[in-house]
Amino acid sequence: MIPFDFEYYRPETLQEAVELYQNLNSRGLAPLYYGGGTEIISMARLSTVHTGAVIDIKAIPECNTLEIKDNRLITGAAVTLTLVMESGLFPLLAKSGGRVADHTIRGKITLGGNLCGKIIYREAVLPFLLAESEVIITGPGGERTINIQDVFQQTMQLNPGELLVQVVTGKEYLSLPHDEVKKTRIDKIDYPLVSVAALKKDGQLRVAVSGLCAFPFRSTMIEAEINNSKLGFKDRVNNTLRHLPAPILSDIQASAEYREFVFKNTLLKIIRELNEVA
Amino acid sequence: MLAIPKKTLIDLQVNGETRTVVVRPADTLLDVLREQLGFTGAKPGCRNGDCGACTILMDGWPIKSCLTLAVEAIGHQVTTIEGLQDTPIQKAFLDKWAFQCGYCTSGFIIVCHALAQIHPGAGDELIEEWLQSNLCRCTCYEEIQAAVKSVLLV
Repeated sequence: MIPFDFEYYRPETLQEAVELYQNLNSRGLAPLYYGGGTEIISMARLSTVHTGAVIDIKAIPECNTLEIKDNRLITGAAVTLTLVMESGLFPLLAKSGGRVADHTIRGKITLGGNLCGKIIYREAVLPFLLAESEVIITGPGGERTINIQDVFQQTMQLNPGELLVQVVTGKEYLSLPHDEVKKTRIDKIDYPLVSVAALKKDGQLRVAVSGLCAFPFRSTMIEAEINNSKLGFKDRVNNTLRHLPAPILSDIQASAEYREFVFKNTLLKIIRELNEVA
Repeated sequence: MLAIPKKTLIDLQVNGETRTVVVRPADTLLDVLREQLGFTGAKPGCRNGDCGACTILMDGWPIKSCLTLAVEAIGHQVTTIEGLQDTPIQKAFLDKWAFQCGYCTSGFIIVCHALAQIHPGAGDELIEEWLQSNLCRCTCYEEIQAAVKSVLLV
């Protein structure tokens, strides 16, 4: 049982949603945009999230788009991870998003919820970082389109009242050689010790990582090390550790030393496999 | 725009019938199904989305009703285990002895039924992926897998 009350709204247009947010916020209700709601409900039950109102975005058509149009894949923020996977439109996204929680929960978790949520792993962002996708955001200041690498800085950098609407990915990225490996402590369903997604474009490997540090990241410096053909694979992997953007996580799941060990082996496997792909 | 600012009467479509309930917007679908409508087949287990005992169908897809607000179900078709009477998967669970204590059984049957409807030709990998959403502490996994395989077209 959620131990406090909140108001529930289900707008049908983006304009309604944004205006509603401003109205509810002016009443001091600290509204939250609501996608699948799994994180909000589980955290509200434990009183680690509090809100006076939720704005359910699942009836907004733009947020439910899942199609290829004008050579671009458009994925709406309210599309569930299960539907992304079932569509088969972006195989790497299906793999990265397809290991979040379990199958039934993925039928509720939305793309926007995974990208904008509080849980630190946000594995669905990895393919978009690699594919240099664009993000469409709307809010009180109007609509803006921005490269995901510019707006996803550890977390999605949204201004108050802004709503993630869609992520747009060039069709040319959807079928590139790729790999994704998620390592967990024991069970298949768990938070990642390390989750690595990789894409090969124009002979160069791109890599994005979740679980290793306190936020997902893609690093061009790490990619430069990985693609340094003057070195052997093991030396390339060892050199990537110089460029980690934050300390390696050390928690109840794994020590930092063990995470580093798992990361290096995972990356080595991916490099070797994708090296053989044109 | 649907607006539910406070505790109010709403209509839900459950097992093909319109049912009227009084809900707070913060009430979970699990609690409303059980406490107001008497559909106790959906079980409270972890209440955190981990165990799958509360699984029901919304528009034919399995969801965990502990992580769903009752108001989210407005305009959607909800099916609980009580709505799956005489389905092949119920009989398969009996025939294969796919339960012991039975607490998880309704959740498993819901998932298996949805899998058979959505992917009737599912192979081992897909079966495993779907069934990983539910826990059985009596560890009847082999029998449950046999039951779902017996209703799939493979």
